[in-house]
Amino acid sequence: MNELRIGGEQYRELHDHLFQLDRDEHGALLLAGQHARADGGFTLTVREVHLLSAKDFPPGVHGYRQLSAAALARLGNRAADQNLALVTAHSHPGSGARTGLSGDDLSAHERIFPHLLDITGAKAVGGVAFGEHSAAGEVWSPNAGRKPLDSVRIVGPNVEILTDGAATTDPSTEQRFDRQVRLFGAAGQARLRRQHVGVIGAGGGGSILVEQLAHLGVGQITVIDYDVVRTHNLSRIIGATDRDARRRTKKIVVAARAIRRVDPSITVNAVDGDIADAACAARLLECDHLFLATDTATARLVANAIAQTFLIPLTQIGAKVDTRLSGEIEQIYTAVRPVLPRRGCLACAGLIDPQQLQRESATPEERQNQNYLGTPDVIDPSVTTLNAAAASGALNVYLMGLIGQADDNLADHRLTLTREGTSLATRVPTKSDCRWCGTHELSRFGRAELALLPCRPATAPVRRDSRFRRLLGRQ
Amino acid sequence: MRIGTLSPELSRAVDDLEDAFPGRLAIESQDATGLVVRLHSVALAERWSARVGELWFVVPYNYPDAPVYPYYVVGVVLSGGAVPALQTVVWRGMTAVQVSLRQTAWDPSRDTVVGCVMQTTSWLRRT
Repeated sequence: MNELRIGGEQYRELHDHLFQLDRDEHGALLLAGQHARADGGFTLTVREVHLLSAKDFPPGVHGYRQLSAAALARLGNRAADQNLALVTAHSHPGSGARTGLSGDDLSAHERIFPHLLDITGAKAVGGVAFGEHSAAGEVWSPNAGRKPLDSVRIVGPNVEILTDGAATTDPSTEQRFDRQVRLFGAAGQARLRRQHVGVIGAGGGGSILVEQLAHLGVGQITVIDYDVVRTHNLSRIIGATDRDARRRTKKIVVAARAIRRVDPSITVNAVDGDIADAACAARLLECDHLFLATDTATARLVANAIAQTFLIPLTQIGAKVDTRLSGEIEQIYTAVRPVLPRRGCLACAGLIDPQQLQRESATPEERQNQNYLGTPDVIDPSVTTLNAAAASGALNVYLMGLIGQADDNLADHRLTLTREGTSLATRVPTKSDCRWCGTHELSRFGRAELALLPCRPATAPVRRDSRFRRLLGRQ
Repeated sequence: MRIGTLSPELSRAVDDLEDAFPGRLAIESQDATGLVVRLHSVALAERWSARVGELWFVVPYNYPDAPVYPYYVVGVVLSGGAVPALQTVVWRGMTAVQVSLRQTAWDPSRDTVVGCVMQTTSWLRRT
């Protein structure tokens, strides 16, 4: 499968340029991260959108319009310097929900793409023709050759999938989803079935998420956790039993069991590990959506990094009881925090505590030494109803985005005060110097490289990477 | 030592430390926590048993999202009374004085390990 992913804001900018009042064709060049998928295809993640002026998209010799050699050289070299793929984009005004590459488009690819692969040294190059509500294209790579682009995914509050409009969907007729289909539509239910959702953490929040995802009819679920069930977990891990606590059953085993109990046809990937390890993080890179249901700063850091680097929407959930030193309850709230490309970034929101990260990265001996004041560990309250409120809230945000019903405000971070019954929504301001979603040269946004995630080092000794040094200005 | 794959930021941290402390830096090891770094010929104040010591610290694998903290002075002992932020500990098999100086408002996009180590060495020279 080959897919182009683009953030909602970037797509709006691109769309407005491609479809102007003059109803003429317009062009753009996209610089994108390039993730080689397990199925042999590519996910291209748009990092930079370069809108082409009339000078750089003039009337063509071979077709109606053509990309200027100057623009291709300029941005081809930039793609090479940045280790990004170059994707050409142009519009087919008036084609609406169905479009295709013309003979001229295909000929242009044949003339240009071998040279672009050579100039950029990239794993792939691509070309896309956009209709107002459709897209068709190709991805060329030295290894896989010339393949069609299956879809363009617009990752905003609503996740929109553009295709050439030729393929028919496979509407679900399963009786079990009859009541849902009345909301989602058959196509919506079929889309749920094609979803691959990642859940980080299979504890109080994660266990509710996976069970509800199974009931909804999601086709594939990857759940990651390294922990085991203990007696004090039994009040809130859905599906966990006394026997699990006695046997110290892995939480992922309980999660997988709960999913299969609901729907044995769901593909379950139960990953016994820590998202801080690159091998575990790698299991999430082909997911359509991620849910974060752990309370460590390390998991927040890595999940947020995946969301911004690979343009995968993420929803972080939490439930918190704040108490004063006297023990008096100050506040009870649940949190649902959507993270989209350049929107809702957990780092920009100040939700990744550097000091907590440091403590979590230290050895147990170091943590003990650092606690020289002898402060006892605080065990936070945790209640299943609070977890359920956060999990259901997050799933509703996900569902509304999936079926195209999300209002723009739904992508704001939201705290719900349990005692007061009120909600506080926050639009997180994006920081231009953010290491994850920022617009500067060194930000990880859209680079789609596993090696750029803040994961623990691999055990095998390798070299220091000279390209990183070049990117950082050190020759 | 031979070191494993470094993130660009860790790689730059090592370069910057080498530039800031030429000929005085050694990467002792790399493990799941990060890079263990030794800085020698660090000037110490009078309360220490010698006027020069070694400063060790870990640059976390997820630096600069996580800051460098704490530091360890190895091979010398403290004399006189207790000093806030200094405790004798056993660290990675060595007896060391832990220096618990923390940049509380750490900003990953602004703060650097070099700045922190310089502040710490300056503090050790005075304290």
